[in-house]
Amino acid sequence: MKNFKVLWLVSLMLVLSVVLAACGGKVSDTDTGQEGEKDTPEKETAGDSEQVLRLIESAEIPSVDSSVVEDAVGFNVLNNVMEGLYRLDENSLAVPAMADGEAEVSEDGLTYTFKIRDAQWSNGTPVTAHDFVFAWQRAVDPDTGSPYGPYLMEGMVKNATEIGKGEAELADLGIRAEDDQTLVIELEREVPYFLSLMSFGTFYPLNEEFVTEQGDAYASNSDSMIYNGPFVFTDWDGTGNSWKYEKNENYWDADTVQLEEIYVDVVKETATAVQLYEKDQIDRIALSAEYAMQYADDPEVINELETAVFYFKMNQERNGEATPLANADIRKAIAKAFDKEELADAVLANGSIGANYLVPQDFTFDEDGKDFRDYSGTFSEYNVEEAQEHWKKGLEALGTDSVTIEILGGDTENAKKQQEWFKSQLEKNLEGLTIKLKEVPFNVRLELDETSDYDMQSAGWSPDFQDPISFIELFTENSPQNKMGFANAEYDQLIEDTKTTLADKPVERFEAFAKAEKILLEDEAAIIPQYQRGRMVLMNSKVKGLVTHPFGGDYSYKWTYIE
Amino acid sequence: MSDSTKQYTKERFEQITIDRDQAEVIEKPSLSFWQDAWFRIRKNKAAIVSLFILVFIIFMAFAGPFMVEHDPDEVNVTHANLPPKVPGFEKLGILDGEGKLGSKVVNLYEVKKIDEYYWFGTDSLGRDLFSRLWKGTQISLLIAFVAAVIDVFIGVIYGGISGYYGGRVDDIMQRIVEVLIGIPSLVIVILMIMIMEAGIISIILAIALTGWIGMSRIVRGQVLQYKNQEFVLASRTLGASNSRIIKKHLLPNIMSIVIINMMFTIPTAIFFEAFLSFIGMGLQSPAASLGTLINDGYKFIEYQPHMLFFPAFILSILMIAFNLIGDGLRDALDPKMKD
Amino acid sequence: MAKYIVKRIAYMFMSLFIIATATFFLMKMLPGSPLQSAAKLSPEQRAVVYEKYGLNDPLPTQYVKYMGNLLQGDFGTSFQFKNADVMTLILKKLEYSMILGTQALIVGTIIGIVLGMIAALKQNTIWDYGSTIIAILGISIPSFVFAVLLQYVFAVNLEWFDVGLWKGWKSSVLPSIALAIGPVAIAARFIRTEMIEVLSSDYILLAKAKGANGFEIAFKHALRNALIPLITVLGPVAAGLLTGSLVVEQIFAIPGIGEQFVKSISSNDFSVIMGTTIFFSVFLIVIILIVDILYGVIDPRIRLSGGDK
Repeated sequence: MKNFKVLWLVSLMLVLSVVLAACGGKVSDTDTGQEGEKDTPEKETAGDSEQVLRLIESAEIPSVDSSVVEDAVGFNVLNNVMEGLYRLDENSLAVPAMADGEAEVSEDGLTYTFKIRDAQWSNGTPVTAHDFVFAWQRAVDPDTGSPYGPYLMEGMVKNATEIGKGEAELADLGIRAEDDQTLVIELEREVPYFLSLMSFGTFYPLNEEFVTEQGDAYASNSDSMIYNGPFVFTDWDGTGNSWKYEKNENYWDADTVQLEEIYVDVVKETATAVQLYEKDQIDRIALSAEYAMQYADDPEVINELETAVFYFKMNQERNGEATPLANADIRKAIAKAFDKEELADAVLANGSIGANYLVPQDFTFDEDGKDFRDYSGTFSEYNVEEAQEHWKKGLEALGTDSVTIEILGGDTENAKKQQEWFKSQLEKNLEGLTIKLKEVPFNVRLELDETSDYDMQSAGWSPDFQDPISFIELFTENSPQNKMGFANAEYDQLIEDTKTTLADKPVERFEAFAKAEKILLEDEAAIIPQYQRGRMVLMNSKVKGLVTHPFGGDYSYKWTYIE
Repeated sequence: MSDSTKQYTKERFEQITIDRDQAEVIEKPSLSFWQDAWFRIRKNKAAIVSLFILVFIIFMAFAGPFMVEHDPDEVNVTHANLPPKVPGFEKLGILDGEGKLGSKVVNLYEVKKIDEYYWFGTDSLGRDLFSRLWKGTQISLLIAFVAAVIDVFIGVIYGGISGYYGGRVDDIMQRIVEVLIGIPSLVIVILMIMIMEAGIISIILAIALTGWIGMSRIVRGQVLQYKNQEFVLASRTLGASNSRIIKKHLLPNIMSIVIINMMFTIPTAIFFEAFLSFIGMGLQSPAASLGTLINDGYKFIEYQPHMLFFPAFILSILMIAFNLIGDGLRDALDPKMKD
Repeated sequence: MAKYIVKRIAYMFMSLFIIATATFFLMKMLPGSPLQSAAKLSPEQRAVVYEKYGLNDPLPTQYVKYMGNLLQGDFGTSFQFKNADVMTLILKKLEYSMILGTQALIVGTIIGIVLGMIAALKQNTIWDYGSTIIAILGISIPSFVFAVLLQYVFAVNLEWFDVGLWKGWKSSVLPSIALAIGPVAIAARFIRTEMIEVLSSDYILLAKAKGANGFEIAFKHALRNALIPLITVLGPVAAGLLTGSLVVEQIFAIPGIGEQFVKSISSNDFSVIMGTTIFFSVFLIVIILIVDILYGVIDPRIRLSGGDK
């Protein structure tokens, strides 16, 4: 018995180490083999050039009801199976889609008249102006519980705010169908980016007859919907981890669409996704930083710059008391104390770029195609010496030689890694600073933000429409995104001007935004930009024409084909 | 014949008188409970080897971070993702800093021009994995020990009261246990961790608060068994107070079974912690535990398998060691309970 | 017997009531809102949206409403999936988890029994050591470490199976094995001890003396008696599979209930968390109950009404 136990133990250790070691050993052999074969005929023939695309998503679809949808996956699906008055084209410019030709705009810029194209739903009924009226009314109706409807329409479309308060009827909403082909929209104020908004999911048409007939079951699965976009949506049971798109033969521009089928699976672990890609089971994946180094030289890697910008919100008042961050020098010191290039290149390493600005680059352009960034400058650049000067001044003003600041951030792998890096950078560069990390899930962070219960918060924003205001407006005194005790009258006034007096002067308007950005970032250091997010993607080289968009639905498959 | 009888002469016999003092003397050296346990477990080589390994791991958990010059939390992104490199082993062709980069195998230390040695390599922020591993082991062990102690404490008190007082008290307490046992503890642990501020304390509490039920049942069973035995009855007849009976008679007798079970509670707690960290509900970074290290390593499994290998190996060894020691103790302390 | 079962079922409902109540309030303490884009809305807009989901009511009202619906078998609607009824959602996700769990339990137990038998019959031989090693590894190595290794060796390197996703039965093989290691280990250890004990008992000696052959003794006498106590440990084993499924499903990208539960918690999907918790509890309680009853049926020596007194 005793001998047996020794043996037991010894062999146990042996087996364990052999099993583990064997796995370790196998890595290099088989893997190098695999890598070598990667571009050999096997893979070439696998695709055949059947017009089939195989994709993955990182999350399930919460909803594809255009009135209710509120997340990236849902908007992406809608962008490919539905179509609004306008659609983002291959260059992400809004072009008429359901609208037949450009809209007619009244002189005061408050009334838009659209002609509706001769188009059909996937069940054969025609798309009419009434479909838009119904959809818009449904989205703004408090009974629908849509978050995006009121968010986008209130203060813009006539009477939307009143409907939200219950002071006006749905029928009063500033949208009406003159006849089946003519749609008239009335706005409360001039909105320079109105047409680009028309490509956004919330404003897509819905066929009243069909939706009413389905009732609560509408959009509960792919069979209980009809489509007017390039694809129809199939094989989705409402909660499932896979779905499919098929070419919509009833689509008005069906000739352009080349793909026959698109299969989508939900895969949450990047490791699993990479394996699937390597085994040629999917055509496109986004890489996380772990794989960046390994795939850096791979010819199938594509770096895409997104329009999401991440920044620190510097809370100046917490629980009624001023935080150390109420001191402008402390804020400026922190703003200059971390190396954004290192953050983007070495920590994120996914194609992100360090941001010394709030409004992302490659996002908004003036009429001549000049990037908004050329109107504005760069702010709060990495500079340890200046940071330390500010820091010294700040500490003196506070009358202390050590400060503890909490950084509130996300609890994903990536977020944690960044926060650990911030802690080490800031503590290294600013003597006497202690950083406490607090990592919480997304919606917890939102709640802490809501109650201003944090010191510094790592937050990000991705725009819902193509205009600098979608970023700049976030930090006006009464914005629900402020919540950090920041108020600057000049800044608020500049933004008010862009909506009123400057609304029809594009150049002055951009200049006003640039000025506001400078106040926010340089004069006040109210927020500290970190980086503009990028996406490092591995894509099968035979997939062509997959278009990415800076806002709204992330991708368009309308022009995609397999070579 | 006569010769043989002659051998037993009268002189050779000695008359003794019954000495009361002598009657009570025990010839063999008196062994305390622990001496006895040690005496027995000593023969169980698997348990002894496990014990040594365990002591070694505990020693390393405290000494390890000081054995290298790198601090476990020191971030240095230019040294990120290095494979292991140990001085002395380089010439043998293992642990020499070679790792995969894309499809090639290269010496990453040379590529990045780094002269330092990272025995177990570095993670994606360039932190030294050797010191981080032991620091993580330390935290995992701490969580497990404290959780197990709290567990045992609640379990013994609850089970003890329930068993000792019996009657209505026991009835009510057992009904409560019966209700509680139907609650999926994992679900509650996860919810509790979400509610409390993430960190070591909430993990310990969450594990401890759901783990005591099993212990309380065992203790109750033991107390029920002992409290009606003759030695307790005798003591009671002699006027011993409840507290004396509990302290002098019951506790020593249930001690062994409590300790055995604790040996199995600890690995369960280690597992729970690792499990929670693996699904991303664990510690507040930059703190590391075996679970968070395994989680980090999993992401790199294809290119840097060592990042998963070391923490997974230590975790498995810890679990095995505790289980074997538990088995050994069970055999040693309570031969009736062998399984 | 009948009285005992009725009593147990009464406890079961009490447990469920307490679980539902506890989960409800724990869940309401979860920080954060179940509505993702709530942050974009102004307070007035948010109030309107919350009204629609009944989140503005005072807690006790929400509680009473929820419990009332629960009694009628209505688990509510998911927040995450805007159109999904929680019950339907759970049943849909459960299908995958059930396949994995059942396969793991059945295959694992059978392999465990075989290993345990071999160990017992060939005591102190290499066979015995081998199966004991497997048992101790199975108990000690966490299922997620094992799952990762399996995925790496058999899917990535050898390419025998899929890396992940659900594409028919073949996808279930690796996750099932990862989950089965627990049952294998526990069953093997258990059967070994039980059989060694049974093999040394008098009636086996008698059977041997009467000339029964080894096979007959092993299966007809020894195994049958050793199987009875095995049932008692299968309850906890099945419950353990639940734990395993939370992470194994994640690793293999299987859209099961465990994966869904983790997701619901991080997105504050109140109604799905509630539904799943209650479902898990029912599962656990019913298994404990069945095991206890089965135990009584198989082995009449155990007086059920006596409990563990």
